[in-house]
Amino acid sequence: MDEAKKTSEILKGIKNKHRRQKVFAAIQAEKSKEKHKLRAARAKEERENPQLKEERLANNVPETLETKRVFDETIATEIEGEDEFFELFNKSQRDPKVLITTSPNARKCAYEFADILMEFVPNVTFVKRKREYQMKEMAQYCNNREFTDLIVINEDKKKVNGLTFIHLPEGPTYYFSVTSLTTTERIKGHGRATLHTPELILNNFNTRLGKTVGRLFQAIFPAQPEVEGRQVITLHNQRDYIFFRRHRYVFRDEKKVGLQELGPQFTLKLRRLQKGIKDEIEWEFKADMERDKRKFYL
Amino acid sequence: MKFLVSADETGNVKEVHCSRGVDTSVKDGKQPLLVQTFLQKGDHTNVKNRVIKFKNYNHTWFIAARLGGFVSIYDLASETAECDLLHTYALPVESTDKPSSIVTQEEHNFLMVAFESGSVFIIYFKDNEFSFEPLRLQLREDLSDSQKLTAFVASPYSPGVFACGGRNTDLQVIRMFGANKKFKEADFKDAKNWKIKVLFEAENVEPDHLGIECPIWISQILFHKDSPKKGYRLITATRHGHIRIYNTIEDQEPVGSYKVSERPILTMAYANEDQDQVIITDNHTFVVRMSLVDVDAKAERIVSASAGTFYRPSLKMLGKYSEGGNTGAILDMEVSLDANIVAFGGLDRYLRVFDISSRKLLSKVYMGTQISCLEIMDDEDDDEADVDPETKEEEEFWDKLDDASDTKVVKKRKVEE
Repeated sequence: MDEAKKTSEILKGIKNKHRRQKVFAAIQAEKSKEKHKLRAARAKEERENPQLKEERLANNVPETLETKRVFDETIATEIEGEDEFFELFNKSQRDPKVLITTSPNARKCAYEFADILMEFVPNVTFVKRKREYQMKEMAQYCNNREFTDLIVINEDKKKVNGLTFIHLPEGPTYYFSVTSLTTTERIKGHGRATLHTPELILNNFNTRLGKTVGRLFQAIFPAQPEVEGRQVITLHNQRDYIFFRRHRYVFRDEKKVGLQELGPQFTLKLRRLQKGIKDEIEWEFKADMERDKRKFYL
Repeated sequence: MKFLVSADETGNVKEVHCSRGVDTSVKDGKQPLLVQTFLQKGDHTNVKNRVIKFKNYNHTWFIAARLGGFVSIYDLASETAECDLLHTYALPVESTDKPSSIVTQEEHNFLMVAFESGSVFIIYFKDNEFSFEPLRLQLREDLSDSQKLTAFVASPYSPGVFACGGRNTDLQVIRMFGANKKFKEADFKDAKNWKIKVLFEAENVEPDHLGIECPIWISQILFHKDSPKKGYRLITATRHGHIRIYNTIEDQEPVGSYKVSERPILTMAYANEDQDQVIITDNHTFVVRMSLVDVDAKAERIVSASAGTFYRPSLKMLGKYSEGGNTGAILDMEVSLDANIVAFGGLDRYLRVFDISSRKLLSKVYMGTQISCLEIMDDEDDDEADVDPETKEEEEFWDKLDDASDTKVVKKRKVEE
């Protein structure tokens, strides 16, 4: 504080702009030099005595939005009773069966995205969207053919911007927005995926709403992955954004694990959750939900 | 305050005791005194047969209408924490058919359970036993697949008079039995003894300026206390966002029809004793108190090439109940005018209690499951804050005494060891 005051006072007295800039640069350079010196000294000290470093790191944990998260009582409570996924997980032996389609009159990018999805969603069929059928009718069609999930890709202005998931037979319906899609080819050093059923990692789906979302993804992928494929899909939730990543792992030795990204990458954000097949709203994103930056819903 | 709340994901009903200021979403906030399951577990306590409607029968029984046509009767006077199951009626309806309402007639020892298919079952309790077969009546014979009776209510002002309506079936006021009728056992054996007389049949509103028919889908009906002589005044809410006011003497069409929401209205209840205000909720997060008499004449401006520019009236909005961050549709609410409170429950798994006039949130309780039906059992606040200090002082006094004696004992023990 004092130093900053000093700097500003020194600078105030100099009327020539160029000179002032020079002096300011010199002061900054000196400050950074000092900082580096301090750090070097500390590093030396810590190299001799590693315990000091541990202590310093333990004392200086940076505060993030996640650590400041406002209290949510639904995180601590277990799922009560049976939701729409209960039967699929606990009673029936049926494997997931998924139908993918697009919004009506979709452009090329929607079909490309459908191709991407079909690479990793197991037991999947693509059907070209016919304009005369509404979502509810399509859900009925899928119900009659024992599909467990219906995915509709939404395309707008030649960009994929949304994904609707309808869990069958009786909902719920999810609508996610899709952003930051990076296709496999654009990932440096990517691998080639195999057709094995991937393992699934769901990160940070903690609240009651988050669990409902997590269970959707759990329902789409078969409970028994083919481990020999060594492929894993990660859905990582951070600050209500869900990041999709796909990797192949290898155990190099007893300690080291290697990861190779398989792609694609994209980000989902829950916009709406409806009960049944597009019935009453259970949760909907509103812009003012972002006003409190420490409140997270998933 | 005590509430009963249906728990959709377990098929049970929960009992909640909470006082004002309870908020479970606040860390270290005031917690409810009691949240527990209310009904004894039975064969039908599951999601597929979850409780859609429930009602209290004469303060002795608890009637729960379940999905799949089951009506369970529980004993409210049971000594255990959970009410004992007395009997379950399996009514012969299709599995997709939903109960739309329960109407109790305590003075005549029967209750009516209406279904969306238009069937009404009369369950007669002969000598307070459950051996009597339920009697099936069909309110409307000619219902097609697209037609549903989603609303069926009894008039609280004239016995024997009911109103019904639903999807593609407009409002009807019917008389199911005379006001002074003495029921005999034979009446409950044969449907022929029930002559349903239609007192009033509503007509749909005129098509709009483009000639488009307004679709019919009534979700709620309320009888108004100031009915004209030999007629009725009713208020309906529709799943197309309308509130309609009917006066059966004046016109078959509604005397007022107002579009108040773009979305389906799910629940409606009077907000004051004068019955000139209602609280409505839609299938989104819109929960609002509206006036039935104050009309905003220029609510919506419509510019039409054929009909010119004109204004469509709507009802005045008196305020939203938005405190407490409601995120899901409200499926049921109940108003207690004596205590000036209203309770909401819905898909976001919270029970919220508001003050009707000030619209302040009084308590908010996380229920863990979705709520499709609720009831206020006791609207009086426990006022534990007033009682507590005295008892606390007493307790402390006794504790001190105990401590004094305890210390001596402890010392002795130490010596012994």
